[in-house]
Amino acid sequence: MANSSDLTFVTRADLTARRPPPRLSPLAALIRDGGVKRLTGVVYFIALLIFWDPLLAALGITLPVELDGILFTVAICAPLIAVTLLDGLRTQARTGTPFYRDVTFLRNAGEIVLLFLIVQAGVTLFGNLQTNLARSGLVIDFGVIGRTFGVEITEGPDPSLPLEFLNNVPVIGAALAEQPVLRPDTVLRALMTGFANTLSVSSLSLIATTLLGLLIGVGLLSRNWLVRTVANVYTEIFRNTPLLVQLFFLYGGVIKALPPRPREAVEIIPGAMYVSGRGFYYPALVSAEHSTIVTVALLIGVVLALLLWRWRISVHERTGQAAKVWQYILSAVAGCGLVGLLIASAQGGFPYTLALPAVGNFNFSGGASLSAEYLTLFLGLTLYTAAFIADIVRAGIQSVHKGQIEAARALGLNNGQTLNKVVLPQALRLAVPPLTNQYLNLVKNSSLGIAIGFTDLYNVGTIAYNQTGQSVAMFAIMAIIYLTVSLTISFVMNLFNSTLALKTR
Amino acid sequence: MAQIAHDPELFYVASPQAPASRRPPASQIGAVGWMRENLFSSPGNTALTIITALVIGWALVNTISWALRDAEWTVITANLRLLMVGQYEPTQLWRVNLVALVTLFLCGASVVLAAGAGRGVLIALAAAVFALLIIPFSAAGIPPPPIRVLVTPTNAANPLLFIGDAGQVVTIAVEALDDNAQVGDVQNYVGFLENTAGLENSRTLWNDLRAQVTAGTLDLSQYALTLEINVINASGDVLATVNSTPDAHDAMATVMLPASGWYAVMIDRADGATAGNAFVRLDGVTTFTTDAASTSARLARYGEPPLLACPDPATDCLRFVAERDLRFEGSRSLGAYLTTQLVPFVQAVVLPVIAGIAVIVAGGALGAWARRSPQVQSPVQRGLLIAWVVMLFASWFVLRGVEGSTLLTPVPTSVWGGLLLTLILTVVAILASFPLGVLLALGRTSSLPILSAVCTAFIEVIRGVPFITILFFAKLIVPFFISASADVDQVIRMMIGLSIFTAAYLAEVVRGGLQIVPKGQIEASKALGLNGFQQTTQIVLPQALRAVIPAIMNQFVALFKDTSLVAVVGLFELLGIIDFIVNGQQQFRGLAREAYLFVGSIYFVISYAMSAASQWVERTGVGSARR
Repeated sequence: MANSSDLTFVTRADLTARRPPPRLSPLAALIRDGGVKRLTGVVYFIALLIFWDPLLAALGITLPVELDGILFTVAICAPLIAVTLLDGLRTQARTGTPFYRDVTFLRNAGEIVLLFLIVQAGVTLFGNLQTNLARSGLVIDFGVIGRTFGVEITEGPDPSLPLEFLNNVPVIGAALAEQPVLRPDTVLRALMTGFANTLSVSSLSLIATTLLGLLIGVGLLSRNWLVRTVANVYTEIFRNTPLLVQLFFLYGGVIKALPPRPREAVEIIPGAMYVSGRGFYYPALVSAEHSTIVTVALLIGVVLALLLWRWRISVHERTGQAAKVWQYILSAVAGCGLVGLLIASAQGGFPYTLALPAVGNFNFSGGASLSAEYLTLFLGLTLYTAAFIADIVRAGIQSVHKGQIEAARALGLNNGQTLNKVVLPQALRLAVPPLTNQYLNLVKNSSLGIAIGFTDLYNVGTIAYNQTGQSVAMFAIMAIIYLTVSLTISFVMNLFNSTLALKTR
Repeated sequence: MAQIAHDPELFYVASPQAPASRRPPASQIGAVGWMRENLFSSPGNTALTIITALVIGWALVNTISWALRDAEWTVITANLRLLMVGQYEPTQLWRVNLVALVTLFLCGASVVLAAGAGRGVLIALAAAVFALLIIPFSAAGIPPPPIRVLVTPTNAANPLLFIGDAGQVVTIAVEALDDNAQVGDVQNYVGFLENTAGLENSRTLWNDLRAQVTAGTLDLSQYALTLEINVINASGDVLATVNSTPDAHDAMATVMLPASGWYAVMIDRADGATAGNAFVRLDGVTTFTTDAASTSARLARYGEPPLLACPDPATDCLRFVAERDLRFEGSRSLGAYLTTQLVPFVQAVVLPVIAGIAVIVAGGALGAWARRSPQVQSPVQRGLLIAWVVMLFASWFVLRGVEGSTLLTPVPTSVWGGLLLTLILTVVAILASFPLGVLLALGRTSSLPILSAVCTAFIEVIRGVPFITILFFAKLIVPFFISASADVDQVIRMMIGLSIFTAAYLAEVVRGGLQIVPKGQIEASKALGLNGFQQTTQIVLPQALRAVIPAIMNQFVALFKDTSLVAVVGLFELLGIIDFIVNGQQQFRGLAREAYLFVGSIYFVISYAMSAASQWVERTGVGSARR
């Protein structure tokens, strides 16, 4: 009979014992944790990147460039090689398989080789970049953002906005608080003006294009043949033509073809809204000193609305009464706003006035305006993206099974209720990810403003590059800013998406 | 049974007369029925129909009347070469034509071999050819609009030179402007524009004159011009004379030209009697174009223009009846539109289009023949594949030229432009980005964390930044990765940028396809003993790629449209060359709308065709494993 210590039998007692897995000591758990391993790796990588050159200088070693690169790569891979070898040897000790035949070891070794190649390629390319730039007399210098920016920017955010409170923000607070003006003296402030322009045109466009896209999407599904055909033709034309062609056509052929003088401008609303070759002029809302009372009242109204919203939802879930959420929210906000208006009017007259644009000889005086470039970019982005959103809306609504609508009818829901409670939640579930994509595309497409002279972030960055020669630094800064905006929009839309997800176990 | 058959209450018994028509009521069938159903089914629907019809009708009518009456489509006809091939060396265009014809042949053969020839396509092609051949005849009976030159007290009445053929009937008339009421809109007035800074602009003079008469500072009835107009041939012989005196203001003469060649209209004002304005009108004279090819043909046929007492022809004391110097004033009739705009355009494109269609049909015939006989299908397929690969490589050398060759002289890519450059960028980017995208997708979904992280970072960074940032990066920074002198071709830099950008988007699409492949396939392949490489290339990738063919084609359509963005970076492809055409050439200033509409429609046609092809592929399952 075999010695029981040589063989391992699994008895029913073992199976039924339901022993918990052996608990690792905290240190062992930390070492085994995948996330901690990755974090350690990334920290080591970054530390080595930053301190490699100072380390070599401190040790007094100077190496030729290629050897330096290879040594750097080996230093990066060294811990991985050590860990893999240790693991392989430990497995060999445990199971008897030589480490060079162990699948895990081979996979890890392959990965190390890949990492070696990637890092080596990166080091070579970057080294090439450095030497070539140095040979051309350029040096990558991220301090370019402090350099002088000598060009006047044609448009920017309102310089009369009070922003002194931003002085408390470290590093960039001073530049932010001193208003991104139209004659920025540093590249940083110019970039902020450009960024403000990008955000402004993108956000306005996002709202307009969603509404227009919804309208056309519903038109694509209309029973009316004429409306359906018009929506189809619109979608096909605007989807199959490049955005740049549309922008150039709008700018050169439509907006710039309008007469530039105020007296010949096109009156959309006589006396109040004009469109000319130089831009779009509309009445400005002028708020008096005591309008802060109204603002505070509206804020209170919003907070009240949020509380009422939660209360009504809980009432609806508890008792089944109709939630009537929108009625409560709107009445709360409107009521508080009205109260604020009354108080403000009692103090010093109606706090808001409209400043109408007045026709002058060479320019409009008063009122607010959007430049021709802003108007073109806004219209172009809106019309182009609306075509894609219309298709997404159509696909979303068509994805809802017909049986759902029939069942809703059988339950006695009317049109509005069917739409709200049955069709839209399911349609949105399908539509939100492609919609996110279109929103990101819109923000990125706003960079095409450079083609028509709109001073958005990309345009300002290009001017800065042209003035300072720091192409790599400017590219990196712009890439980081656009990436941040993209990630923010993705994050918000993913939050929205997760609220729509089917709540399953 | 017999009882039931005879019971009149249980069965309908037809009356002896034939019933009224059994067709449905007229208001429910045919056009009326369709309109009631689709357009007027409810009051709201009716209101919607009426409003939409009014708005769309107004827009359509305005657009069409602008296109026919006001738009100057000559900017397209005159610049067709620039739009199609940019500034490619004009004498070497045969190479572009050769590459284009071979490509069209292979396209026709491949498509028909794979999918058969649809009857609708053949009918459409035949209709297009027929239309192109017929349109020039539509303007056959319509005389070209007259050409007018304004003679004022201040402008020098330079000689007008035109080209005529033997037997051509030309009428010269003097239309005296002696009545203030004559400054209304002149129907189809065609005046001369200056082509340099030397000669006065007739149209400007005419508008100034009208302004002065309207303001009252000029009275046309004070007319005292004496004009003697002689039509002479190249050697100076006078063929006809028109005398306009203060007693006989309007005079005219008709002359039949004896021989082909140059003719001139000399306008002499008698000394002393120089007050007054008049039009000199030419009827029956056709204008000539001034692009390089036409000029050489014209010089060969008619010879050099005569000098005519102009000491130095380079100083512009001669006016030529050239097409590029003509602009219309006043409202244009449909006949004038046909003769001056549509017919010249059709005449310019008819030969290339018919040649292209003929070659496609020839290729299609080859494909159809191969498709019908199974034993030649496989060799023909392989032959076509080899032909495509060879063509792709050879066309690069044919277009680019080879150093030191006399047949294929080098043509630098900096002069490539127009539709040629757009299509080349698209094709190269498609071919380069596809394998790169697949590799990136495989890297992103691999189980090696470092590779996955690097690929993910690469894809997310490229997708998160705007496209022109990538192009800007490719144009300025990528050369520094290679060498300091930055002599990498601009076009090649753009190809790199386009390929990287599309590869990142393709990687996401292919990743979606990879997720669709059922896990059971991978397990089965492991059970069969396939290693990782075989598993990927023979089991996973074929299924993944076939599942996402529509999305991939969608991305390629977007790539085609995105090639327009290289215009921002400085290449003169189809969109970028418009700036050169409209702003760089004086005579085409202000014609941006026509140019952008034309280019937009080219993009639209090609994108729509690509999208339709992708939908057809998706619908019929061509390219999938099981059909």
